[in-house]
Amino acid sequence: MSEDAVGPPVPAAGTPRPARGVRPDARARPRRSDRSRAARWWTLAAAVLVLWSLWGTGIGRGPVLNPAGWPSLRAFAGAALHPDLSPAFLLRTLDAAAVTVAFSLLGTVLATAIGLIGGVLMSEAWWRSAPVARVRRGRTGWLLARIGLGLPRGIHEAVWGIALLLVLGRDPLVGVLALGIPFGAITAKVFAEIIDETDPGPHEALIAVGASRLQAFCHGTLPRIWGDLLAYSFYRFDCALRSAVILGMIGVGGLGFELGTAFAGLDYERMWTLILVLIVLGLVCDRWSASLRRPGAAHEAEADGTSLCGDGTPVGRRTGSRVALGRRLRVSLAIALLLTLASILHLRLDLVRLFSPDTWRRAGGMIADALPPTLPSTWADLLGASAATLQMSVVAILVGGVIGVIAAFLGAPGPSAGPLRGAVAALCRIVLLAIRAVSPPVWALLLLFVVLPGPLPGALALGLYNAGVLGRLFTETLETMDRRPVRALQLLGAGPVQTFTYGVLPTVTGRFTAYGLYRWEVAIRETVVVGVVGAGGLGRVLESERATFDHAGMLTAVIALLLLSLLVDLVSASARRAWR
Amino acid sequence: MSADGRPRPGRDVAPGTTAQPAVALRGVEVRYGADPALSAALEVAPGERVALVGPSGAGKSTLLGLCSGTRPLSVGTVEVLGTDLAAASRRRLRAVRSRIGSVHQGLDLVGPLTALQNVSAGRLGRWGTARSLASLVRPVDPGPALEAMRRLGIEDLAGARTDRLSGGEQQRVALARVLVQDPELVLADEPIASLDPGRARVVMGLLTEVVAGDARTLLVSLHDFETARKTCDRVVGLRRGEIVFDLPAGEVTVAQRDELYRLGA
Repeated sequence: MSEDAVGPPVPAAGTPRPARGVRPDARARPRRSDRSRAARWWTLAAAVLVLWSLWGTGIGRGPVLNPAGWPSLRAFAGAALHPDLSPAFLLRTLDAAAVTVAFSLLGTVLATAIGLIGGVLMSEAWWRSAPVARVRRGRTGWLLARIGLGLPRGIHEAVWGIALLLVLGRDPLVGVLALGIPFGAITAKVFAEIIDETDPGPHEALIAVGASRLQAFCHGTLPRIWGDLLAYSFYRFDCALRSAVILGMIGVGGLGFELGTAFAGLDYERMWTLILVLIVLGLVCDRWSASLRRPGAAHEAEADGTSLCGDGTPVGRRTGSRVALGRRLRVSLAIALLLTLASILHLRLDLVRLFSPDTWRRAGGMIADALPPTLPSTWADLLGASAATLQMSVVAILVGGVIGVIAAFLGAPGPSAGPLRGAVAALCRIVLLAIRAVSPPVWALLLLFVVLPGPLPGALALGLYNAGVLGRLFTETLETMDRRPVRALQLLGAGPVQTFTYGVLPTVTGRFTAYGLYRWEVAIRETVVVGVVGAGGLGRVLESERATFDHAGMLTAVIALLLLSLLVDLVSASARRAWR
Repeated sequence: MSADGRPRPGRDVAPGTTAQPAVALRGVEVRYGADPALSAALEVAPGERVALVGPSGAGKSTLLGLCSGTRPLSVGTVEVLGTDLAAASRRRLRAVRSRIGSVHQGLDLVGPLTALQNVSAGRLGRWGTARSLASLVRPVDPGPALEAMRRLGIEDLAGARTDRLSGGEQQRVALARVLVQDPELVLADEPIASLDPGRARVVMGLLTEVVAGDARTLLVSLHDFETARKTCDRVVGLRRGEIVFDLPAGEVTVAQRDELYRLGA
């Protein structure tokens, strides 16, 4: 077997496309008519899917708004002016915020550890440098690592949280593990991509002079990528913070728990205090993690894959002022380490519990209980819930995409914009940030004031949240797009509308669509978090099974969710290819 | 150059005739910070083909940028096709720009559009908004665009996405766009700087083809002296932002070329 054939197959879809330039093999590609016919079919299918989803979530089939909720909404809005600032509640909020931050931090630390080990094991570079005699075993190991980390990635952290709550009860370990395990699997995939994108020269040179693979990795590859890995970990922390709030709402504790309590008691003043804290925390983390990335890389990180198909976009190389960035990274690392220690103390983590026979017995009992998975009720119900989940995700991306596009064009004024446009843009970015900082279940609870219960408030909540994420991705796309073709059109006398429709729009449409599809893959998983607050779909099934301790039924719902995610990943990947 | 029997108004137009210059730079100065980047006066008559030569940083791109109104100038006036660019209203500027064709090395095509749409975009300056929008859905009056593509030998690529074409094909698409635009003045900034000699010859041939016709003016910056002498009527030598010589193509000497590119002087 030749040396070239040693490595595992390269996933073709993951390779970045050259942005501009020459394609010598242009004539060898499929005929244009075939391609555009496929694209047309996909467009038609997408239109049908969107209409079906709108119909399914109840739009156009009767009243969706709940007029009885208006007074509550007014009361809620009125409370914005006087949030509960009593010392006792502030202290409680502070404690809850500390718990949430501690969850996210320790979860991220765990995720980074899993990611580092898993990323190396998932990378092709690692297995390629295995001794030739062990090639076969190397391929098996690579495959095992891919599969072993693919499954935890497909299950949303909220589901992990629910399962771990059943085993460990209300223990702070639940928060840490529920974040650490799925995020670890995602991190491993991204780390593997970073490792594989790095020039293997130094690594191979060290192997050639007799270093072990581990030595070669630590001395040859790691020093060149640690900044990228760390920057990604800080980005993960930013995500973990949002997820920790969601975990809180399902009963793990922290800000989310307090929010849930305040919502249940319709305590508007307290809601506002908590939401404001959430927004401030979100702002700080967002800015912090953004300051550690090279400009323009946020979209790559944000669109990363929880994808099961393995074509998440790679995290870009950091460029620009490397020295300043390096210093910022080191300072951030020191702060993070201190906070980690503080978090362990604050949560009073008891790792021994993890290994106690009691825990294992309970876990074993639960697994035995859940096997074989049984239908929660009937096949029709399960299919109906699955359809509702799919419809929610589609409507969410539709809503998020439309708002996101509008926000992006407002938020990214061209290079020659006046001060007024600049102010509008700045305002727009802040609103997007605030939208992102409030997690989807909170949006769902807020929307339930005025929207009748069912899949629609869930879909809208996910849509709003995704508007925040997509708006940011779109804004960055607009800011980093190649402006030269646009300028060329201006030079030949095209007006503003023409320049926009012929230059800007065609250039960004592909990217926008790809991001929308990526976020769809994420949204289908996130439906579970709005489901648990009662917004329909499989998440709701999961929640009701939880209430009745029907573990076998829960497992079925989780499997259905996984299959649905897999389906969406496949469809999204094919659509991306056809529309490219 | 006059093998095709095309009249050469250019230099042959006697001074004092009413022909208005295509380009007139009067007492122009451009500064970046304290350093003068360009300080020049230049007139180009309609139909002339003028090459700007000189080392990197001599001010060739700056001069071309002035003519397309993309570079601000510090002192002086730039008149292109009878319009003072600095004083022109937005509308007037658009009108003038629709009569100026630009060729860049970077091609600057819109990748995801089809080749035909890119070529048709050459007429955007003359099309109204409604017509432009309609043409994105279904090509409106594709005749001239197809004809231009046929002239450049790429008519079979009309429906292909532009970013899937080879470099040479994209070059032809860019030139076809200029052809469809039918400009009175063509500004070309280093159109062949990084091409191999064979490709460079083809592109220069195409560029000459684009400006072939009555009273179409070409202002092109070139690195290669020989190409400049062969394709243009007049060669303007620039060095450190100043015009060193301005001569008919036949009268430029090797000594002048060497002087222009002498390092360190």
